[in-house]
Amino acid sequence: MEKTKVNVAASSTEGHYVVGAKQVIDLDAVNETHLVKGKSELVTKNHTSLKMEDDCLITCQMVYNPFSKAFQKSRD
Amino acid sequence: MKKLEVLTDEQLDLIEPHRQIWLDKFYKNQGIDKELAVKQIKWLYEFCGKKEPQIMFMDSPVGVDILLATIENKGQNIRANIRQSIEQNIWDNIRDNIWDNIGANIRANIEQNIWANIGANIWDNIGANIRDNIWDNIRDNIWDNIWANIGANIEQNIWANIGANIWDNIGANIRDNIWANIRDNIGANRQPRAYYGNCSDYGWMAFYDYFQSLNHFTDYDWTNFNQFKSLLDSGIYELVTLEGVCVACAMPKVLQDAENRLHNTEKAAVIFNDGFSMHFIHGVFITPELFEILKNGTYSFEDWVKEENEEIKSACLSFIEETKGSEALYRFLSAYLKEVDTYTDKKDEKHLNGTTRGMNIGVYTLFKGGYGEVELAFVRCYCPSTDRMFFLSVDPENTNAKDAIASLYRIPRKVANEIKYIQRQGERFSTVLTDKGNEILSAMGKEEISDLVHISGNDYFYKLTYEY
Repeated sequence: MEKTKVNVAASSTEGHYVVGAKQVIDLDAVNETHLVKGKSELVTKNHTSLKMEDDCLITCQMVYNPFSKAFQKSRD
Repeated sequence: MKKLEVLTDEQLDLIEPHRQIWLDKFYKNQGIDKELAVKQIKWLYEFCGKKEPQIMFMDSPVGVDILLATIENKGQNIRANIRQSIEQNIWDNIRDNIWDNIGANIRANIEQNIWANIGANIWDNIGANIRDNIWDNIRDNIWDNIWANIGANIEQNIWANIGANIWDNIGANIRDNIWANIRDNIGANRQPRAYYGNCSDYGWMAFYDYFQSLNHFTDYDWTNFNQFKSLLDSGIYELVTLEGVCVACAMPKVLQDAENRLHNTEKAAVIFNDGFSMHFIHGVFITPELFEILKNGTYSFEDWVKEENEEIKSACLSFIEETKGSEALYRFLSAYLKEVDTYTDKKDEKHLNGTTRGMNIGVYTLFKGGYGEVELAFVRCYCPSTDRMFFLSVDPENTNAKDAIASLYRIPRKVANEIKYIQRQGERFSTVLTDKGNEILSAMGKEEISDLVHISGNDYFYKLTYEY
């Protein structure tokens, strides 16, 4: 059976994909916060795949915009 | 069929040369063999139960797109609408190629509506009747360790080099960066490429080709496999398979870094025969305009600060260091930024698995300064997977590197005290909560989930395990 593959980084050029989870729930589309249920792996192009043994919460790094003086989602 | 239980020394010695043969098909390609391509495309259509197509050839994926857009638009004013996006010499080559394909019979061709894409049909037929069929017939007759060995050394190696680093990367960037700019102006849809019948097939084809070359599976009928292999041997880069029409694209020349990522600091890293080219720095696509100012040295600190994509920011610093040296990179940054504080997170040996194990891992340095009236603060850090250097913008209120880097992590406020451990992959954090934290989370509403906070540097590094 093919493993599930869900992109949890909609704003990322290459995406970060949760592979093999029982369920991936999009909790907050704006901040790109996802709840991942079941053992899985986070896969992307430019980084080593991350083994996620437990249920976990995926969040996006924020960076500071010195012009607007506010935090925004980090883009990759 | 007798089970293949062990590979002889002679057969083991064939692995590397066999891989090289398939890599050379791409890297040392001599251009498209149109006669063979026509023959094998006709076979492909017949194999998939489709009528023989009219076959057209173009020299780049963008040339393919413009040919199809010309047909879809029935020849209306394509050039005028994309003048800014395609240089004159490339356009001239594309126009000549279009003329070669449809010019002689332009009225008949352009009066056509665009044909139905049969990529799904190709997928079904090649997938089931060749790829899966070979699997079904030989998989159980090969021991697992041999399967894994050949898989890693041939299939995955070739897929990583040609499929992922080249075909996927070029395709994604044409879709995102080239087509996105012109599609609104020409009102055409970009036709998807056939999933089978392009150079991303080299990995799995080389894998089965190795087993075929052993002359062990002589009971299996390799006829269809050989026909499909001949299609790839014709030198096609990719196909657009439509009902009655197939457009084939010729291979590009590519330049890569030591890790086989598309890369060149002197010229384009991908060059197609019609002159269409693409710039990449260590696998990261950059626009021709950005490449030009990086190359001529007019790329400014302000340009860098305003760039929002962290991968591109990192690529630009890498370009400066690689072309002008570390001293130039230091001057580029130090004119505006001063080092304030460094924190080193000494990682356990087990948490270095999957990293470069380089000396930069876990070293965070806070820089502060300004540009005009804009206050700036950055944390320099290095990607543990690739050792690429990143400068991440932080609030200038930060006074130490440890809290500064932790300030970029985010977690819903209501569970911030219930973190069991944190892992990280680039711009994404994976946080495992305590049982109590999971209970709290399950009862939280949307607004509470959107209320994100950061944690202290001490707390962050106490909880951080794997970081890639």
